[in-house]
Amino acid sequence: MKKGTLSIGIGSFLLVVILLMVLSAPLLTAHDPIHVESRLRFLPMSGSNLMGTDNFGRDIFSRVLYGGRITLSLSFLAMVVTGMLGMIVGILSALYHGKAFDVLCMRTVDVLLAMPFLVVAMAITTFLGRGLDKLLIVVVLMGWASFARLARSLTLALKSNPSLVAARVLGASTTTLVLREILPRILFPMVINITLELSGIILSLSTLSFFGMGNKPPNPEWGSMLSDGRLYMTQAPNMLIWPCVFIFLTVLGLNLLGEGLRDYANPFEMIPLE
Amino acid sequence: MKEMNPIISIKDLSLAYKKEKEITQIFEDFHLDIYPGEKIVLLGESGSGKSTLARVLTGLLPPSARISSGDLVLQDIHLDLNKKFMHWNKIRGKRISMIFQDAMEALNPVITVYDHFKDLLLHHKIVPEKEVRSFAKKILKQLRFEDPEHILESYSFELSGGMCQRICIALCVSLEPEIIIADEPTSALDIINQMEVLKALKSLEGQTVFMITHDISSASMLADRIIILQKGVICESGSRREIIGHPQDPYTRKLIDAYAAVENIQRRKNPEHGEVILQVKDLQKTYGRHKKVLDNLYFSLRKGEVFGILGESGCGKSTLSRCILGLEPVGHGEIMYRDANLLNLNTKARRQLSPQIQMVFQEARGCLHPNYPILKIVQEPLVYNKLYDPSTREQMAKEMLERVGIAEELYERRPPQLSTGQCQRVGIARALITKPEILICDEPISALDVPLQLQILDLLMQLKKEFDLTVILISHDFRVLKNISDTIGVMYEGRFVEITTNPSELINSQNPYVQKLVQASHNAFAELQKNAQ
Repeated sequence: MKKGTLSIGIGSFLLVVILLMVLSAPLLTAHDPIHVESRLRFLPMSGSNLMGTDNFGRDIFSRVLYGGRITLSLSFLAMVVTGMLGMIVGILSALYHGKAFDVLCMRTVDVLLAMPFLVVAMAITTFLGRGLDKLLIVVVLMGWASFARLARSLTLALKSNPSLVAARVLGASTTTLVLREILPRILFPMVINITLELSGIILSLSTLSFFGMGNKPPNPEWGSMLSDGRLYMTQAPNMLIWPCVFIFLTVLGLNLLGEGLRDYANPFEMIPLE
Repeated sequence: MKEMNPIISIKDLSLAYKKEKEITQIFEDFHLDIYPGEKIVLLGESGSGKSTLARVLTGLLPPSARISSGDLVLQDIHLDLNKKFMHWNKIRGKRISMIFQDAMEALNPVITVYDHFKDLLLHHKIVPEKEVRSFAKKILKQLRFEDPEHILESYSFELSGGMCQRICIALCVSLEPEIIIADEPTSALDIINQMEVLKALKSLEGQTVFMITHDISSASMLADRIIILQKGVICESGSRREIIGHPQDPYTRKLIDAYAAVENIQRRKNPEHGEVILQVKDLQKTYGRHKKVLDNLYFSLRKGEVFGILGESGCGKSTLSRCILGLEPVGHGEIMYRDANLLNLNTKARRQLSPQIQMVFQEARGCLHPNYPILKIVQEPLVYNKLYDPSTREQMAKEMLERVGIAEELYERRPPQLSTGQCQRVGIARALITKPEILICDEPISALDVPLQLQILDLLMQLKKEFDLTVILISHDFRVLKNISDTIGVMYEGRFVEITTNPSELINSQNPYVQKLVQASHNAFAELQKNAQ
């Protein structure tokens, strides 16, 4: 079996199961995730409430499933936007290596990477206000820097590659060069890294929600569920444990998938030894 | 010599590489004895298993290698290669030393040569720390370094490739190993440096040296005994005189004939050249502030001419070609192609000229996109320049591939699945598909095995005639340029020190640098011929 296959298998299995559960939430649970029923507070796990209920008597299982919809779609959106933004900036920066544009971009990257994420995120949400869209802006604003740096170094390494030089000699325009020569070759390492980073994005989204910066109640979201659960940790551990388990399994699945892909795909492994 | 006990021997070696489910058998019941004090050269083309053998001797095999049987006998030590041996550190360096192809890479660029000696000598407890300097100087002197004190304080990047390789040899020698293994020590070097390294190895009297190479001229310079390896089997073995003078095996004969034939490729030169199509005037380029790469460079190219550029590595010949192709900015000067000054054109106009000036690269495989089938690769210039419609492009690509001798069943393969020679053919087909006027060939054959060199050079010359090309041929080897160039320019430190239409003039040149360069390639061949008689 080729290296990485097992990780890819386990990782994608986890992700598929979680995704299916989240997408088919209405089929799996009859409870309304935001329906408050104070007489049902802090119920333990049972047949009708698989994961028990929370401090407002809401069914935790249905909150986890519906909350996953928000967390996962937001993270995925954030990942795509940060990844693309980072890649565009990085490639352009490498193409204009040493020019003013490159210097400007890379110093911005340095500044962004030097800033503590949470502190800046709090500062920004103070200005922009609370809400999922604001959360997205924060994550994208802080997240593109590392991708830009990666894309830049990958492109720079490619730039002196003979086949790229050859393409230039053969008359390729800069656009052609980027689309035909650079992008296909850096895409794979980029995608792998972005997959690995997605788990980070999920965690940071959850962290921000945990601190009350993202989601507005009563809508469920994994991070804010954690935040609520913390207060009732001793009375109803279910409130804390289950969102945690789902975050953990998603992140684990993503990491396994990302690392598996990295081990599996090495385009240069085709070359014979001598 | 044969009555002596071998200093090292490999017995019954069976080795294969396993990749996924595919098993490639390299050696089967292979046997080799090396005797004390002999300079033994293993000659073979790429894929014959010669580097694998060096790795067997040093225990540096990659994890994909599977040894099913085999013993390594090093005088008192008997190693069963089949089993895992954990004590290579006691043997490597001290008893079996190795020098590698790329000496620049082998040396650590952040410490001086002296530190290399210090680390090595102290690690192996050869001398106490205060004697390291004098000991190192002694070794360097023994290897005929002119200024050992200065060398010891230098960093690897301040020295030439040949110097670095000689320092690696000095480091090996300082441990007094029983055997030095040299894996292609000269193939990354130009011919002047090659000679220096070979001389250094030859000067090690009484030292057993096991050199691996694909270059028969290096072999003829150094060897007491030559072994010809083909597909993991020794097809011929004997003294240098026997092998080169009276090769028995057809493969050996092919190698030797091909070597001689490279020099003897003849082209009917046409002294009546057409108009000047490319003119370079007062070209200057500096890297950073002070390092002049091109300096006050003049030359002109006539239609139909083959212009050979001769020079050692670092003399600026590749930079010149990159400047002509617009890959690098130029400080000052003019490059006139017909009526246009290439340096004044904007990017778009420059690109529109690219079908007219094309290039064949040294890195035959590297210059092709690894993920595309070759039929697609050959069409690239047409696609980039938006010439013809897709079906015509494909038709043209097929014709071009057929012309360079690529069989139809290979069209859908990707470069990693082709041999180096085939890749170079694809590279040539790609360069010629736009019917260029000028073809720049930057060391097109120096990375190839000798029989392939001959084929590619021959192909280039046929195509030159067929497509009415004007060729700029860049090489460090005078033998390659001698008979096929109409004009040869010798480059030194960024300018032409001599331009002549009569190559034999260069042999008797007054310029010491030209003499050194021409003599170097001439010597290697003379040695070979002397042996052949």
